[in-house]
Amino acid sequence: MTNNIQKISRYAPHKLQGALQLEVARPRAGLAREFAFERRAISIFSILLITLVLAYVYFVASSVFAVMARADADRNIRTAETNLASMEQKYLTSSSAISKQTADSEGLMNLGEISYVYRPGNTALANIADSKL
Amino acid sequence: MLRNKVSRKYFLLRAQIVSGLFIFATLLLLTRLYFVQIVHGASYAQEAIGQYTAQNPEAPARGSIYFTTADGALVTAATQQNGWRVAINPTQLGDPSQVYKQLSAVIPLDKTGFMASVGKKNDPYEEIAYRLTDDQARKVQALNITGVILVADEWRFYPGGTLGAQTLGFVGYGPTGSTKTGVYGLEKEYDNTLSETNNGLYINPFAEIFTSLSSALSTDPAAHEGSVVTSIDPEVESQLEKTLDQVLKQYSPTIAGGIIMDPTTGAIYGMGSRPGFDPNAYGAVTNPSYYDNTLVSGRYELGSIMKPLTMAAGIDSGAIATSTTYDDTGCITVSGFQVCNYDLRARGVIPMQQILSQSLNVGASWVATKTGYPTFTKYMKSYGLGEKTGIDLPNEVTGDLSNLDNGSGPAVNFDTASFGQGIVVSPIEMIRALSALANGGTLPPPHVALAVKYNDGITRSISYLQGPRVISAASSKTVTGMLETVYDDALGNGKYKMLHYTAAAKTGTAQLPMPGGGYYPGNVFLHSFFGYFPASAPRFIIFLFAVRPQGVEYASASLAPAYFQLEQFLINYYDIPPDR
Repeated sequence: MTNNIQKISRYAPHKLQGALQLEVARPRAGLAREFAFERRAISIFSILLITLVLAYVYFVASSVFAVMARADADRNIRTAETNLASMEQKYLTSSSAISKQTADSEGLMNLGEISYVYRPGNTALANIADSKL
Repeated sequence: MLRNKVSRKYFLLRAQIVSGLFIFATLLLLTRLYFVQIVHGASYAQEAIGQYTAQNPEAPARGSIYFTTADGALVTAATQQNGWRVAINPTQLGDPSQVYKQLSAVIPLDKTGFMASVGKKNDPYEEIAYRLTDDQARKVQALNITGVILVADEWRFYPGGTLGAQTLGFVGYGPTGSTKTGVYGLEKEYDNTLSETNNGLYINPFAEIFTSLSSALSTDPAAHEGSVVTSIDPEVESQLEKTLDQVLKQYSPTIAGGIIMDPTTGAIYGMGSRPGFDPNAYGAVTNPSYYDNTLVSGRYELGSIMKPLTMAAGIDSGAIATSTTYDDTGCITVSGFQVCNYDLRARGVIPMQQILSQSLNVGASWVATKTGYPTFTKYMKSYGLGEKTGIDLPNEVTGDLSNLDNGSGPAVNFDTASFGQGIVVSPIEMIRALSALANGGTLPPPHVALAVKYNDGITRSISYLQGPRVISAASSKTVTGMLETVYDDALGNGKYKMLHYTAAAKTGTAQLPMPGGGYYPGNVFLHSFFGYFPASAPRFIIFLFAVRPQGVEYASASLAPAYFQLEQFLINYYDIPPDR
């Protein structure tokens, strides 16, 4: 990089100095051209700063809307829970009112005799000595 | 010079235009303010009050309590209910009779109270109706009566009414008397968990993330705000309470209570007592003792259901075996007192099984003596009968074994303690001790809460440590076998024996102590009963008791049918596979 810089002083060029062409550089932009890396960094940081500011504004605004939406959702949840509790009340009242008479009126009846079947399954039948497991 | 003059002219013109715009905007705003505040002010104020949803200090935000059904579904046991209140501004109200007529047509309204509120002309805000549904509120709003205001209301609601009331407790005024807090049952025990500090209007997302992380990783899930999930099954609880109601109706005891528990885990499926109350209307209860969960905060001489524990102590200590025999003389004299069998009859030389099958007091006394009083006392204490079980319900009492005096009391105290007289224990202590017989000799941790459900959707289980081993697995198996014989052959002369299921059970009929000492004469008893099934691998243990049942002498007549009814229900409801 420093090879392209003409020797204009007895001092060595700064390591951040780029390919300085003083004859084509405008006087006002001399420093910026001389420290091109810094200029690029400033541009990047400026863009980053603006992006962050915009992001901050966006997220703050989003948070406000989220809080409003959450309050709304909470209200809806409470309403739903209220309705659910009313239905559960009906369910509990109805289920506790079920009696044998209710079953009889629905045509249900007791089983005369209950038979159980015991099926041990393959594991119980397997003979470990024969390596069947 | 001329250029300056023209410039100044344009400047003044621009200034006048800008000033004119400002004045116009100000006038516009003032006009708007006049219409908003003066012309429509009253109606906007009324509308604003109607939309007012400030937190009700009487019912601060609170988590729910849930029952759990057999298939794992959650059913609300206690929750916050939202609705409306109706308030009036007596200064704006028109003809009170006409307003009452209009309102009472759509909402329940007490005329005397309404007229009294209307009479308070200096009070601009008088509430006249509470806990209205959205439908009712809409009807009130549709009437469009000047001076009638709708205000958001919130209250604690128990959908099951009386279901599990003593276990759930309720929310009432705390010590400060200004805000409501959990005052009985789970509402009190888990008050810190259920109380919500966030009103929903301010949210700190970062704090929420850390709170969620903290609750997800905490060693004590109940230390964080949330809803409480219980092991109470609404169907089981309902069946238990129906059964208790039948006992109450048939035998009119002063108190009847019961617990249904998993003897292995200590999870309580049902717990209730009668007389009960409805926590939705707890203020209507005339006797505050109905609020108490007598199964946790009461203690009694529970009678012969103590005999299996006496037998287990004798067998586990090696003092006796099932094959051991003794000479039953019907009555014995100990420390100058006579201890007799319930029927005063002697049985002669009989094996240990008969002590349980015939519920012989002399036999139980003999076992305690044979075990040795210090050893017997050590076992009674190891069963946890004189200590709190640690159940997650408030106001737990401990039993009183002071009569045993560390094994050095008068001999008669040990003899009576062997069949459940002279020592008092709480029902929850007793079911835990008896569970050791069903749980291979280890005490389970009785508990009601299973988990805490946080608002962020995470549910954390609450873990409970198993209690200590109090007898060997072999001893518990032996006593279970003896209790199976009691159930199959002795109870109701075998009428409760099930073809495909085994069960272990024992009755208890105890004399009731008088406040001044001694026991009530005549047929004044406490009946108790416990049983567990299937005996080969117990899933449920049921404890029932009734104080002063009328018209029935023994628990085998009063509580055995109730137990059998519950047993059949549980077998069907939980689809328990047969074990014989």
